[in-house]
Amino acid sequence: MTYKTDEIWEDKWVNTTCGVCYCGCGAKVRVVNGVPVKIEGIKETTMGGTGAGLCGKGAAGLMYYHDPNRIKKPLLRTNPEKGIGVDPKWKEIEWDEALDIISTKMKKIMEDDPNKILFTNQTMRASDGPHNHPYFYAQAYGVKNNGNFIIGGGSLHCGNACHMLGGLIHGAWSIAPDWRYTKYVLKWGSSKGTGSGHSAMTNARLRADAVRRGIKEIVFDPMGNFAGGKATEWLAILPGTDAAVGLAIANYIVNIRGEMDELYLKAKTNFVYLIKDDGTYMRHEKSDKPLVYDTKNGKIKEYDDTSAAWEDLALDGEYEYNGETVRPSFVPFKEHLKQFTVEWAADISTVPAAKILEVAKGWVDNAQIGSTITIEGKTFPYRPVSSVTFRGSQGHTNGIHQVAAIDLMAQLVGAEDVPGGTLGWPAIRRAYPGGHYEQTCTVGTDGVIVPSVFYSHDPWPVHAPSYPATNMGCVDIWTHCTLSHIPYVEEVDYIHEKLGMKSKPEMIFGISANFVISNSDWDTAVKNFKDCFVVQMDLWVNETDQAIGDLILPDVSYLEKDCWSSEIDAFFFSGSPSYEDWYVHLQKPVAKPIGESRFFMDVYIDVANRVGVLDKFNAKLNDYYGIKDPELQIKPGEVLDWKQIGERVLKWVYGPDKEKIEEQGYATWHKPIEDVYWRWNIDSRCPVYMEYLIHDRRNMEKIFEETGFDYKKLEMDMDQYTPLPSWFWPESHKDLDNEYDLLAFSYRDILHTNNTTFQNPYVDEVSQMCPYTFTITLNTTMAKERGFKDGDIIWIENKYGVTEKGIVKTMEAQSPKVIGIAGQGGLWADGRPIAKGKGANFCKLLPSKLKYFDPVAGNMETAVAVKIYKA
Amino acid sequence: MPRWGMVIDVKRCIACWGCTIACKEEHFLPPGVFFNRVLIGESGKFPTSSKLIYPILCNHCSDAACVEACPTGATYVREDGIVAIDDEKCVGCRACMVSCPYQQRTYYDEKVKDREYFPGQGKTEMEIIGEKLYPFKLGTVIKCNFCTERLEDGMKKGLTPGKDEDATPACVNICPVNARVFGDLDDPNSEINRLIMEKKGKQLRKEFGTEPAVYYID
Ligand code: SF4
Ligand code: SF4
Ligand code: SF4
Repeated sequence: MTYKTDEIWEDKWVNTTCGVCYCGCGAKVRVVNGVPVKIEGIKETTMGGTGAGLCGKGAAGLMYYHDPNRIKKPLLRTNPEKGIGVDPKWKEIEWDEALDIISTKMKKIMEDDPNKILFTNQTMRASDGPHNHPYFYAQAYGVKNNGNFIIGGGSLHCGNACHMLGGLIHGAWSIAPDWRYTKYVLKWGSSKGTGSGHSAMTNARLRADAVRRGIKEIVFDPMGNFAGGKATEWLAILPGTDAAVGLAIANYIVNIRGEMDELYLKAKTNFVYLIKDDGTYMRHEKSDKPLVYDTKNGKIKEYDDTSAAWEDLALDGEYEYNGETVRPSFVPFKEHLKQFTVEWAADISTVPAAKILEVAKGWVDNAQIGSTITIEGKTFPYRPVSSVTFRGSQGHTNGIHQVAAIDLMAQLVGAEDVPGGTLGWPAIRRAYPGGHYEQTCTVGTDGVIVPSVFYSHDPWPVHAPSYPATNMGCVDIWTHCTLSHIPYVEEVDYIHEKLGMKSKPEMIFGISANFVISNSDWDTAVKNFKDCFVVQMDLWVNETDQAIGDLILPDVSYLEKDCWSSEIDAFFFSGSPSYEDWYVHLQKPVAKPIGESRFFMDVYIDVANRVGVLDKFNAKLNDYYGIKDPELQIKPGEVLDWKQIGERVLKWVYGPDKEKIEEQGYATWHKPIEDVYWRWNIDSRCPVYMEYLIHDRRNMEKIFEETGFDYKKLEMDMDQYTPLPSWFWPESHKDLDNEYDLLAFSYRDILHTNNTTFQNPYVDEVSQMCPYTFTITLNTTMAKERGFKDGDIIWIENKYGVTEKGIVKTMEAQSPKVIGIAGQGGLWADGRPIAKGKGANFCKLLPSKLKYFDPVAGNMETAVAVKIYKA
Repeated sequence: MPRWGMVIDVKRCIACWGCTIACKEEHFLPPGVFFNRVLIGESGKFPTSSKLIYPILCNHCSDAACVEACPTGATYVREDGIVAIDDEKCVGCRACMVSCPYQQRTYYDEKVKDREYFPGQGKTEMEIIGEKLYPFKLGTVIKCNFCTERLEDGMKKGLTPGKDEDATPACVNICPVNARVFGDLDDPNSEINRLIMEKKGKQLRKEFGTEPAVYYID
């Protein structure tokens, strides 16, 4: 083999950030004669796998640049009729005309109600940031909260309940085991460390070392594939029943074994807060603070009264305050747990009772309650047990209780943000030495942590549900939704009408979302959004664009993007959750933009300028980065593009090292160990007893009564607004009967990020070699009993007559009561020929009625009762 | 003279296919050609079945069936243990393809060369430049070469294969979980020998008798 060096005038590597999933691993790209030809990781960074490691789809990212199907000019629909299967009859137009159409429409809407504009965020495509700025952008138009965000590829299957509790407990978007120090890990419908979740490859690297060290990893999952297939032990569980097992384990810890980290419970949870008979806190008559009972001197005190030592606070007993009987919230909690026996949990979950007991024992035995560990000269409590969950288990109508129950066992032994336990992504971001932008969480009302930065809205303090709804998502009422489900719901018109949302959505301004095919029932999505003027910035014309898009603007891929902000803001869900140093990456263009494609941030700025809200957006940026230097602040009237804004922000954020960091494409600086294991350094308490839900319920029921909103008719389960983690059957289970006797569920394949990777020919090739990626999996014995074999084409049908076709692949490692479908296949857009026809689409089988959404966090029920038959 | 070999830790491997794809990029392989693959399967019965993941590549066997089968001497074992193909000598008879019990060889002809990653849409700039950077000879057999060029270029710069990225096979570099280790089988102190000893490394289907230089540990 010879390299033809004479024809090669350029052969270089450029450091950037992988943009194939939301994890943003450090990546470098080999560019030959201006052509990107290879991607590897960056050895010097800790963001990503070992050494220069990247996952397969990350390595395959080149194809985003090379794909001839990329759109190169703005496309305008000329066929007014919309729908699946209708040709939009695209016409190429000039950018100026396109931007003019958008800004004219926006201006007109703004005169009336800016909340008629729906926005989508881009994490559904990949990590090509910036991440947080679309939210500020929407605010610049006067859009309130997160209520006007709708989501696409990542979709409502995302982690609403996980993020809500992640925020309330860890001040972070997500959780992971402390791989370095843990000994015993429970994973519930999560593939952390085996390819998915935030910081996927960082976690994969840390987990691999942990596994070699000999940790025990137990995975509860309907299938033994990515997570379960790699576990020390895989336990088959029915989708949505994790809470039952979690509660049984909690009962074992509290009532059977009786071994808890009492000091932790007294110091770090609200289990010591005194509650009244109605379950709400007894509050101090003046300060309104929750109260605790100091056993040392027999006095009731405010929870933060330093005269009471933590160890003296009461977890039991009954006291009197202003003539009312009060008791620590731990009292009813302890009593409540007694109903959750392992046998009961086994019946619900199909995990054998003996196994649940074994895991519960293992948990307590490994927790080493009372032990400490010294790291970098600092001593911390040592709790080498971790219980983590993500999209799988929380994507059910009982999502919030699923996550709460899974978290509970860690609370009971004090294994939260201490070595060996469950860690949130850092709650604190220290400034780069010599620079600015430090983000520290604060402690809010009732001692609960308030994250320094959070997507959408802050999870704490909870704002009281209020009438009328002022945005499409009605987050005025459903206050815990990270992103709201309401715009997707079949009964949206009724909900809006009753709850006082006067405006109808008129426009969608989105970034590569594919919400028609990636959430739930396609027809409802088309019906709910087709009357909007849909503008999307994307690489291709995807299914949503083809069905209902009006104007599609060519965006750059991450390989052509100059994005200084990709990871600066994402510390709370990207980077390293662990003791590893801070790492931040820039996204550097490795090639010229394809056709006339433009980076969506520049398009955003252009549109904001035309509409007249640019100053507001710029002011938000100044504020967000806390830019104090007048030289660097963006001034009113200034029109800067994203790169020019970056010049200022980077100078502020990195100080004198700005140039160096831009040159190398990343920055690294020390993360103090006490910022990683912060639990005992920040005086906050976890609201494990979810008292706020009592108030939410009261407020909501009052609004519903006054407005005549018939939530009972819509079968919205208000009982879930209860402070104690409890068991509720997921809606999918209620639909099971003799005919529809299987639960279909979906899972994340390591090769795929939502549906965009289906268009990557490298990924497509290997997906075809993988037995499960493009097929529908059935348990081998079950398939045989029902007369199915590998390669059979089958129909899956839900109770509402929605069907999807797929190819059978039998698998031993799958519960006999479920069928599994990977990712978001079954695609049909003409603009993505490689993706077309591959895999099966699971999302369309999910009904869109309100009752199929978690009444608290808005999670979609991501299992569905189905029947299957040969095609 | 070292004898190059590899250890693959299937306990660490998460079946991400990074090795497969990085290898394709390194050698500009056309669609459908793989020097590196991941075999996925199962053993046992529900509920105690387990997933099997085996990343495979040419084993650079020291008693290689392909070498024995090759009538022209095109396929040979180099002094450093790498099983190489001299494309000047290869006549494309494909006896080696039939003989390799690990199915690691591909015949490169017009049909393979003409394949496009975006079928019917023409070759991408990457495919075009790849044919210049890494040309294969039509009518010959191709396979994994342990990234010979990387190794040799790297060693010329004084780098150590298995330690320094620029002297190490692409699949080893990309592996995000350190499941692949490259090194010298003749050096008793090498990391790979340590792993083979400690974790009782096994060759895949040892009974074929070809003496693979790739070992698996779990
Ligand atoms: S985990 Fe995500 S960011 Fe990291 S290499 Fe893979 S696709 Fe890229
Ligand atoms: S694996 Fe096959 S091709 Fe490779 S050396 Fe052994 S016999 Fe030859
Ligand atoms: S790159 Fe590593 S983890 Fe990924 S499939 Fe290959 S050997 Fe396994």
